[in-house]
Amino acid sequence: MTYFPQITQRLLTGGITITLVACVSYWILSLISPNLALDLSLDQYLNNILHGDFGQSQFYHQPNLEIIFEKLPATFELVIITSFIVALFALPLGLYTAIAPRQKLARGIMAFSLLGISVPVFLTGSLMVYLFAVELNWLPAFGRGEVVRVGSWSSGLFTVSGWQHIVMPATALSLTLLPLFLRLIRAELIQVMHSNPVRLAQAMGITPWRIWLSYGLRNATLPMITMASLQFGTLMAYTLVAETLFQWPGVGSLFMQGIIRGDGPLVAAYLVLVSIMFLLFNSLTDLAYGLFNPHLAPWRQQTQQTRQGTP
Amino acid sequence: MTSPLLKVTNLHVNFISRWPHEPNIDVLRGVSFDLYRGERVALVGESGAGKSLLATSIIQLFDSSARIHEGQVEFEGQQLTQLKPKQLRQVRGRRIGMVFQDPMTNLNPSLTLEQQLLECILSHRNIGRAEARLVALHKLRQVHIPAPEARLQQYPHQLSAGQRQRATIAMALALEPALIIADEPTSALDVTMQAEVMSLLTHLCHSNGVALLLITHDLSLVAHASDRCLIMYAGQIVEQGPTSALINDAQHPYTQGLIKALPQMSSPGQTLFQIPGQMPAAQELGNHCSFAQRCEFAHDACWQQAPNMPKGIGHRASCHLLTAAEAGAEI
Amino acid sequence: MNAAKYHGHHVWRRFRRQQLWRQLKANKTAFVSAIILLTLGVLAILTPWISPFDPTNMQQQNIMDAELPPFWQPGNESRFLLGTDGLGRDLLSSILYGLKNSLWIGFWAVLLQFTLGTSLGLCAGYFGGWADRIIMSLADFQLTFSSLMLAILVLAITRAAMGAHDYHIWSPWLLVLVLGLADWPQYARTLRASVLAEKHKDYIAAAQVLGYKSRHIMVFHILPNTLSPLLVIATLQIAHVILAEAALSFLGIGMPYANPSLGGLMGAGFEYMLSGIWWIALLPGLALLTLLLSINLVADWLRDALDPKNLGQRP
Repeated sequence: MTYFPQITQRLLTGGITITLVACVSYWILSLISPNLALDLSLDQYLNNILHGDFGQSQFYHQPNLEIIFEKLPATFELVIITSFIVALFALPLGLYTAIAPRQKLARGIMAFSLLGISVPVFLTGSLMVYLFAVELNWLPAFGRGEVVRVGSWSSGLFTVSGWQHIVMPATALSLTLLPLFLRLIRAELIQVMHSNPVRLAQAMGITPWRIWLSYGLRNATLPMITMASLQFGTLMAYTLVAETLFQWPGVGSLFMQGIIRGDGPLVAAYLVLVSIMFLLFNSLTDLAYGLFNPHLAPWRQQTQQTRQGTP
Repeated sequence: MTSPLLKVTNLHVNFISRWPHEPNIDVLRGVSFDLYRGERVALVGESGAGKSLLATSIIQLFDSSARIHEGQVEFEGQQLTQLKPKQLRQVRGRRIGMVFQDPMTNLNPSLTLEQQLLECILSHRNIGRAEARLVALHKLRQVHIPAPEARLQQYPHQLSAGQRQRATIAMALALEPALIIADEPTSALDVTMQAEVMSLLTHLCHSNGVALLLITHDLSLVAHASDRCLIMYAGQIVEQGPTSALINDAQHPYTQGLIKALPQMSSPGQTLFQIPGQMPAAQELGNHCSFAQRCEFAHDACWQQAPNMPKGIGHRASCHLLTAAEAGAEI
Repeated sequence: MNAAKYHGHHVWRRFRRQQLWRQLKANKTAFVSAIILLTLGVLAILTPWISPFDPTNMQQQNIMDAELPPFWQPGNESRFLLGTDGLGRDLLSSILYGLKNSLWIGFWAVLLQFTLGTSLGLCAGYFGGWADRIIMSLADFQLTFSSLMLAILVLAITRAAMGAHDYHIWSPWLLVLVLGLADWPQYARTLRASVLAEKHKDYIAAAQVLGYKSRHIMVFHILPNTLSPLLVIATLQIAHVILAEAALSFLGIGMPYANPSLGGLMGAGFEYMLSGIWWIALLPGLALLTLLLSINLVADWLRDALDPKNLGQRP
């Protein structure tokens, strides 16, 4: 099969990157908690990581891996709900403003998006907290609410109070990210609609609807995936800020607390784990890329050829 | 005399400026010509003369701020400028096909040839998929693409430039239009491919009775590929007529310059001829002959008034020298 | 003739041709935003003279003046127009100083990004080969991480390593450095694409044949033709850097508390907001919003105005 070399290459570069990050995090550990680092040498540290031992938190006196994995569900659920809301609105709105840019509604949406990218997430969050928690007292200002344990995963999505708590952080994040994605989608669609294949399709008299589907959306999907994956870092950054503001018990606020307390082992472990997650995410997007991109799918052609019996 | 298939009358196309304090730019300034059923007409001119714009104006395919602000385009008895978008879509592809210049960027990279051809065919004809596929295969064979069944399943990036351009030609022919407009169809191909694809195009048009409007900057192509020729300069047609008459007895100084500039017209070791100067930009044109500044025969009349294209059929050119000669001949 | 002066003259002529002033007057939204932005800029520069109090001066602070509301609410004092914060500092002065600091950091960070990104982009595009490969892999690597995330990580860790007190002595410079280094790839990629397109044009070959040095060609021949998209990026980046600085200060890893920042005021004022004292957190937020919105509107207009498709349409 032709794509094995690509997978091994990715695993290799990933491994090298993680090792580099681990070395850097060891150095950071020695900077933040110098006394602890005296007992641990670099190769011992690397060896530990290879065996799944990410050290113990100075503050919590528990293994870092455990602490981080315990807080992970909170961040994960927040990110999932936010992504869901953003995807739900950004795609149709982006499509609409690209198809009919002169309509009043489209112009209004674009004006809203310009406002949206000028309002930082902590301003939206503060306003929401003041309005809905302090003044109106409809929603809780911080925390995660009641959680339900599903195996080793603590979920806030099964309780009413859990949903009450996630509404504001997720909405604040969505309101910040939605304009960004809306503009990206719109820009990509407009660029595709001015391309040569679309011109030929129009010259051939194909209806606008079919052109939008077969040419517009289809050819814009790949660049949109690329752009969306580039925003993952931004999503992480904004989530961290939102977690701090709403005192959401996720890995972001855990990191900030570790920083303020000077908890070296925790910070170092966080860095390594976040890098691993990042690499996994990039690999997933590469996979999605391969699924959508005919150029990178040599195996598709090969399987078709073997089915048809031609060499 | 039969009525022409395509009749363009006094077409003026300009670009609308974005800012209210800036004027619009006229690019096509009064283009008129006829095209009859089954004939092959070449539209020749250098870059910037307005050839491609003329082609897309005929089917009203403007992608920027260009628009027709005067003139008419009549095709098969219909005024194309007056059609509603839905009616225009029925003319595009079905009655007028297009072949664009760059085969590398014109096909949809995410669709297989089959998907692309079928989408085109099924947009206009009410037939089943199987029958449409047979039509597609037939056309691919006509353009000499080897192993068409396999090619149908392939994506454009798996085909060479020559094959892609043939596929585009097949797509244009698939709906059996009355006219095909080909905008520099071979300019982006290797020299070895150019002659082959060109002769394929002209031969297929001829055998299927399809009229061909061939846009090119290459005068040497024109001799074999066309019955009639239109020479375009600075947004106007300056000379038109049967190709052989035009090449052997060019009347407009610009055409004469183009012919003299052909490498075949110089002997080995001789410096190649070049028309001095450059085509004026749209802003520099006015009520004078647009070629005057480069013309060796320019005189006062050329600067005072723009010459007109004589009415009628046959070989004619818009030049003050000709009207003066006629006036002189009459006297 | 002095080569630099000659080419500078050309660049200026090219911009005048685009008639930016008339375009600005034509677009009302952009015009108003530009005026607002200019006003904010002037206020920021004049802050040391026009600010009623000096929030960095601890002598002027009196804890008895703390938590006073703005002038339209009961219980206010007329000398504190927008109220006071938890330490008794005048909020209006803090906001003015915060604006000044934001614009100052924005300016220097963008200058650093621009210079670095432009130089690297020019080299990558013009020289090609291994320089191109190295610079572009570095740029790609940095682009996959968001600049904000990188800034948060680097600055947070620096703060943890240095301790809060030392960190806040250095933080303004660190902010400029980190934010400046974080976003240079955008400029480099855009410029490299433009340079690759221009490199093969005849006027470059002519300059090479005439014996001009590479550096001279890059700066005086290629760069003026590729400046427009870079200016748009730079304007957008000012807003981006100001937002990043505010976010970092909100988190406590940006400007020190003693030297006010709009984000820092919001961070410190958040707790007070929960007890109903909303002005400490929300008024600086309003100022920040106005600043960012006006910059983004002007940047949007600038992108359309410098669009090369509009060049050459002269009367």
